[in-house]
Amino acid sequence: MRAGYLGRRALLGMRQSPFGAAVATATIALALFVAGTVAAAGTLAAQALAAWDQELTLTVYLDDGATPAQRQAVAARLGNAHFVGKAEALRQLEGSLGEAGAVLADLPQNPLRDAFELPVGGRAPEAIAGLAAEIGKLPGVVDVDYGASFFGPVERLLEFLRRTGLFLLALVGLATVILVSNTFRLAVYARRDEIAIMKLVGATDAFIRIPFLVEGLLEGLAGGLLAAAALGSGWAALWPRALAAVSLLGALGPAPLPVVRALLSLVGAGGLLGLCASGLSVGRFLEV
Amino acid sequence: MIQFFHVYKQYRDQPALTDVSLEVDKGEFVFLTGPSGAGKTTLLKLIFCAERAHRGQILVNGRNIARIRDSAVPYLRRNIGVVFQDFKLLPAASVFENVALTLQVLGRSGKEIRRKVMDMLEAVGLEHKAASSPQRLSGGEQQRVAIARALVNDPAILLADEPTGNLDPAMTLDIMNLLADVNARGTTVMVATHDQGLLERYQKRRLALTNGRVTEDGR
Repeated sequence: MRAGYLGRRALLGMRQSPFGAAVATATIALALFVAGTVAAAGTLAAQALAAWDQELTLTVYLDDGATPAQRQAVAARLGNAHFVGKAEALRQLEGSLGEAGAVLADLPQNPLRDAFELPVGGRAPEAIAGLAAEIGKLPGVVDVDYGASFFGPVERLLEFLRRTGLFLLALVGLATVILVSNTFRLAVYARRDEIAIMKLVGATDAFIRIPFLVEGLLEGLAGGLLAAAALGSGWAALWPRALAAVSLLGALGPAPLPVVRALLSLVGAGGLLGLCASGLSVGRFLEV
Repeated sequence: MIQFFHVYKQYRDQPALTDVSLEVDKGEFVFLTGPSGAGKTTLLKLIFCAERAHRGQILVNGRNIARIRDSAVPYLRRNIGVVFQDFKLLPAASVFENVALTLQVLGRSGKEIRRKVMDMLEAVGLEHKAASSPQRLSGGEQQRVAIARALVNDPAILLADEPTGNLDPAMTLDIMNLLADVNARGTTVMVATHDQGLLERYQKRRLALTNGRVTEDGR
């Protein structure tokens, strides 16, 4: 079989039905754009959560009347904890408020409490919750905070979104293969007489199938390139603005996604989608 | 060259061929005759494996095609040229491209394809219309293109199913003379027709089918 001839036949096929080729390419591009956006957003959210998780701190607030023995008992239970006295806490608060921090100077007395801060990044949420509950029962402790009211629901929401995202990605992939294979089916149907004549003069199934597969591959790669171009330029334009607007994203670093690898994967996925869709549609016209 | 041994073929419950046995020698010219629905087309289709027999054995060029694998059918067809009443040409392709298709399928080089196709078109008297669309040709010329496509790779057998069915008497004569020439060069030719005029004009072997049975073999 001559590769040049088969390649020329594939290009000829695209020229014979330009509308079908455009529809297949656009469908693949759109599906990959949606998939790429969902995957990028999911990856960023998971990375943000992981970065935030690393910085998570368990803060134990002490009663003003806590005795030295009670304080020692709390410190011993926490282990490697850092003590933050109420005066230091007030200074930190003043610093974080900037110019507005001056109003704190007018307070008649320091309303904050002495506290122990323990970094708990990387620990299991259940372990942190268990430790917090245990410490909360110690005498001299008035409150324990580790963002429990926020951390748990956000993690559950992200897990739900991750599963829904995967399901939607699978659905979009399936719908794309069906849609594109129908587009190919129309193109193959339009050339059924040609296929019948080729079979009559002794063409093998592979000889007939390969140009259609090459056509599917080329249209898939073109769709992948379009999606990659759109996503790549979207990322380049939006990421710096997102960094400036949401300070939490700063923890992810300047290049949180392997952009080049992801875009190349999109192009590859486009080729694979086109190949699968065209492969599915040619078979039924080979029975002559 | 072609042998049928007690061949049966039916479509659903309707018998198309019943207990057909026949033998066609290498280089023979055979008319397959009979009324419409007698089984002529089915018999030809069995030879180039467009249909499979339900019972019996069929030997083509010494090969038992009743047991041939689907993947081997293309290679069998490369040795059998087939011509139809409705020509089956590609309207979007030129005369040259229609004939070249047979050789492209075989993976021949562009140079060889150009040479053989032009030789073949010259043999059927259409070399000056190589670039034309088949739709601009007369019925007789279109059938010549179909014959050129069937013969360009020098098959041992040429099957023609009512090749003159759509042609006027002058063109019919033209095509039949061409088929006789092809046969004279050694190709085994089987022509299915119900045109009595043709049968009387060309005194060739006649195989008559009636209701799917061979009722006359003028061997």
